[in-house]
Order: sequence, then structure tokens, then C-alpha cells
Amino acid sequence: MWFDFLLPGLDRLQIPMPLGGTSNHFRVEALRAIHGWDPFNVTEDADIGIRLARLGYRVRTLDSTTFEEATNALGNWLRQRTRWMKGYMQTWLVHMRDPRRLLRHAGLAGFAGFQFFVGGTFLSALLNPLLWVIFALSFFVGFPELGLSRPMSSISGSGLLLGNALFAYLSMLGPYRRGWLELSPYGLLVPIYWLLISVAAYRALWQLVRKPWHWEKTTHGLSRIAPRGSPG
Amino acid sequence: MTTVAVPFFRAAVAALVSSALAALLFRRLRRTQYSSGCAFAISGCCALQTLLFQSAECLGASVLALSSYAIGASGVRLTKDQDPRRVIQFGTCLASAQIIAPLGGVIAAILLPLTLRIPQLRGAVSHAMGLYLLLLFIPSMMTLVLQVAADESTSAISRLLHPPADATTSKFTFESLCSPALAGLSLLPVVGFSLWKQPAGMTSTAVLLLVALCSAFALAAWFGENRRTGVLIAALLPLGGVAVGELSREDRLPVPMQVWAVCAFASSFALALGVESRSHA
Repeated sequence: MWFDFLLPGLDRLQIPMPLGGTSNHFRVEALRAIHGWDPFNVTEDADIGIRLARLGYRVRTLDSTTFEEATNALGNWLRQRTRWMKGYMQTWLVHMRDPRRLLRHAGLAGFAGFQFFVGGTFLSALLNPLLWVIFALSFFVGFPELGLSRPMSSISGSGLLLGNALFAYLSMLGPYRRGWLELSPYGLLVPIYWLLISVAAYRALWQLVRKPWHWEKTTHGLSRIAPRGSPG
Repeated sequence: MTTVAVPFFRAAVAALVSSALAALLFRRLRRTQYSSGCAFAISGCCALQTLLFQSAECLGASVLALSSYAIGASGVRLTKDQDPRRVIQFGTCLASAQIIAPLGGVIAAILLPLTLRIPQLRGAVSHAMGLYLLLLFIPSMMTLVLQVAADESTSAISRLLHPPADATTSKFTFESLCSPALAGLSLLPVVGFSLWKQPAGMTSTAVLLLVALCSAFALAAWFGENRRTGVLIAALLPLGGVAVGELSREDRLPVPMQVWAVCAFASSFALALGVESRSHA
């Protein structure tokens, strides 16, 4: 979903792209112009994507695939996502030190895209359990008793349904595009994914305060086809 | 005279719209290598359901015809080109049909994906099931939304598409729409296309015979005192099955999906009859 739909979409809309993955290619002068990468940011690739856009460089996606091993153990996955969430928080905080300057550099669409795709990523993960709790409570005590008006309850109900449905559908369409249709039904497990990503987001928030530069390692080589035991 | 002329004009417009759209659908199906029999069954089914199932009002019948055409055309495009956009388009068309005809829309959403000639649907069961779930996703969400938001807005659409008709209108439209001449006229374009293309083979002849039998049964049921539209839908449903059965061996669904298709057809039939008997109780 990320590499086949969202990144090409950002590319087409010319919105700053938080880079990621194992196959980024740079021109050396562009890297020198942005003074290299931030060694304190744990998703330095995402940060580079935003800084390149701010300096007027264009990041494009190539019609090519680099396969990498997906984490297949829960603890490992949580550590990886915690690092990603913390990195996005760092990137957002760094670039939002001066929002007006960011707006000037990235333009309105770039600024909005940055808020949605970087800020929105961790903010939605942090808010998600809270919203689920309110939704669950509404079954027992009703929205008016929770202090929410009818329009508000309609908006939040639609948001819950549409947000989850859209994300689940995109997760199902991703494998379809690649011809891996046997994976499509797993897209329906999105609510569980959201729950776990929220756990990662809260771990990330805790670490941002306590251990901001700590890099939680992902152990690779756990799946059947990859060589065993290489941390990265 | 005026009270008779207006409904007749509306019925004629509805017949014209639905037959024109059915003819367009037939041509699209033929261009995507559907046999003339199969294309005739599908487009004929669209024309019949528009003219007989929907109210005789011009708007309702025309909207249903348009919806049927949109579903058929997007299905054909998906068959030709398996781009994700086509999946979204087909799912959206199926979902929007539920606003016009809730029961028919749900049945169509369950059954129609099974009739598409997409290689992934004819491959491994896991692939077929994955694609089927993907195609069902948007219609399922629409069903959920319509259930949750079953309030004034949905009933307003229903009132717009199925306005209460006065006695004169009902009588006249009943006569005009049930007249075999008009029903036959509406099918003329598709018959013309069918004959013009190529002589029908044995399978196509069998399909055409089945279509004729089902249509006769449906018309007979609809000519009855209570205009049993549920029986009409139930009679037209096997056409979908015929369309699936007519596929060549390499185009057929994997066995578990065939079992699912048969169960889906049977339950849709039961559902349509159940709703009908409840409405006449």
C-alpha cells in the first residue's frame, strides 16, 4: 500500500515525500546541499525527504521493486514501529519549529501533506484507542451522556467506519496490484493493526521523552527465506 | 386523454432508455469476447428487470437501467483490464445499486462478481477468494451504511424513485408495461445485435431457450393479480447462473467457488421469494 499507492500518489501531487525503505538513491550534490542526514533522527530517511522538498529538490518514485524482509514476530515488529513512530514525531517537531517558514518553503499543499502524512501518522495512532473507548462507552451510556451532541456522534461514527474501511480497502488493494491476492483478506485485520500501532505510538512517545536518540534494533533473518540473525 | 398520455410517454421513455442501455451493454459484452448467447442473457436480463421489476415511473426505471448498465459496463472493463481503479469502479457501481433497489443490489453484489471472466477468479481458490472479497468490500460497506443510516434521507430517495401512483396511472402503466408487445419491443435491439453478429451455436441456443423460459415464467408471474415482483426476480436470477455455466472449461470458477456460487444463487432465490411472501402476507 505504501510503495504502490501512497508514495506514487505523493509523487504525482508533488507533496514532500517522507522517504523510507531499503532502496533510496540520491545525487551526491543534493545530499551535500542539505548537509547530509540528521544522526539524531531515528527515521533520518523521512527527514531527508522533507528537507529535500524544502530546498526545492524533487523526489520521484521509480517503477522498480526492492524486496526486503518483513518482520514476522510481534516483539520485533513493535520495536520497529516504535522506532518509526518516534522518528516521525522527531521529524514533525523539527520541521514545525517554525511553521511559517515550512509553509513558505513547502507551499500550502506541501505543508498540508506534511501535516497529514507525518503529523497525522502518529497523531491518529495516539488518538485511536481514545476514540475506540468513547465509541465503546457510547453503547452503554449513549453519546448525549458522554457530552457529545448528535451531529458530533454522527461525524465520529462516520469517521470510524469510513476511516477503517478506507484503510482496510487500501490494504486489500495493495496485494491485488502485485497479484498476491491470497494476501488481500488479511487487509480486513486492520482494526488489530491499528491497536498494535497505537501501542507502538505510545511506546514511541514515552521513548521520545526518556530516550529520544535510542535506536531500537530490528532483528532480521527470522523468516524462512532470509539468512538468519542480521540486526539492522 | 392528458392523464393517459403522460404516463404512456413516461413508460415509453423508460422503455427506450432501458433498451438503448441494454443494447450498449450487449455490444460491450460482445467486444470483450462474451458469446452472443451469454451477452444476450445478461443484457436481456437488464432490460427485463428495468421494465418489469421497477415502478413504471420514468425516473425510477431509467435510473435502474442506468445502474444496470453501469454495473455491466464496469464489469466488462474490469474483465478487460484488471487495474485497481476498475475494481473500485465495479464495487462502487454495485454499491450504488443498493440505494435504488436494496434487495436487488445486495443480491447483485453477491452474485455478479462470480460471473466475471477474470483470470484471477478462475485460478487458485485463495486467489479467487481474495478477489471476491475485494469486489464485495465496497457493496458490504454500503449495506452497513444503509442499515445504520436508514432514516429520512434514504426513504426520500425511495419516494423519489418509487412515487405513489394514482389509480389511472397504475392501470395504464400496468397495461402498457405488461403488454407483451412493449416488452418484446424493448428486447428488439438486443435480439437484432445477437442475430447480426453470428449464428448461434448449440450452447447459445440452449442459453436463449433458458432465457425465454425464465422470461415467460417471470411474465406469467407478473401478469397475476398481485404482480409478484419477487417471483420475477427469482425467475430472472437463474440467468446469472446460466451465464456462469455457459463459460468454457478454462474460464470456470474453482470447485469451492462453484459451490459458493450455487449456495449464493439458492439463497438469493429464497431471499427474493421470502421477501415477496412477507410483503403479500
